[in-house]
Amino acid sequence: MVPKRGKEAHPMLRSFITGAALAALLTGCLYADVRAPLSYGSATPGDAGGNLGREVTGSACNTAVLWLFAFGNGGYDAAVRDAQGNSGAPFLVDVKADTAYTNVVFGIYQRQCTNVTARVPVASAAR
Amino acid sequence: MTRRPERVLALLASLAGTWGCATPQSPVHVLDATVFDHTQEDMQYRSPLPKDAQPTVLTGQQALGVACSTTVGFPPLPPALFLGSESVINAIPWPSFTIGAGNRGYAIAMQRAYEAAGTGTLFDVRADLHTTSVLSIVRRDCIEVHASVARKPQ
Repeated sequence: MVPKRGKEAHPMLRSFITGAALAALLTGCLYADVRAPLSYGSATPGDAGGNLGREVTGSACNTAVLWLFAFGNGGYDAAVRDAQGNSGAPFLVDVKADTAYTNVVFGIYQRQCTNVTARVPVASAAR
Repeated sequence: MTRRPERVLALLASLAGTWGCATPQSPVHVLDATVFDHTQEDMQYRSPLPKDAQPTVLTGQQALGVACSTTVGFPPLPPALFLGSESVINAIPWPSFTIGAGNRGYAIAMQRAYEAAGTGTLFDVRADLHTTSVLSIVRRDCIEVHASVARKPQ
């Protein structure tokens, strides 16, 4: 019985070593397709002749789950388009950009959002 | 006399705590196991504002310019996707042997955006970094510039 027990332990040990090697080699991320904000030189109140309209907000997010997959479009373009919405404004003015981060249980679920708050130029100023 | 060793230990611990200050911070991103790297990356771009586009008409049209670089590395080097990811990646105890090439600078991305726009001035430029990574071995980083187009009145 003793040698049999030893034989049973080998596949288990092999699986453990294989699992550890895979974990070390892959280092977590299997597939990622994300967009992160890089730079945005937004319009100033002077671009709207000082005529600022209502405030709008927009958000765009990236998400990662189980340390394996990351996806989303958390860039400036998506956030600004979300803020522009149906306002019809050709551009936004006085744009404030913030990032919001959520991390649950050591990163099993992570979400990072780019939030923009801006003013819409009034029609006369927006031409 | 009996407390002296403790004081020495406390002094050594304090020195150990401040030792990190002796390491200069480098603004240059250095990969410690780079086999070959020939890349051009974004650094700074002060894009035109709407007032810079005058006297033109805002068309509402959008232009897109994309420029990419590709990196292949093994053992896998995960991409920095979120705030703080860099510190986790830097803690990986083994180096990743990498080969990188491509031009993802603002200059080439804006040139392509202008080509897409035809004749016109670009303003209100939003730049994003699009990262695609497969198994953390192959990584493609693209700078994407979205801009509004203004044209001279006919």
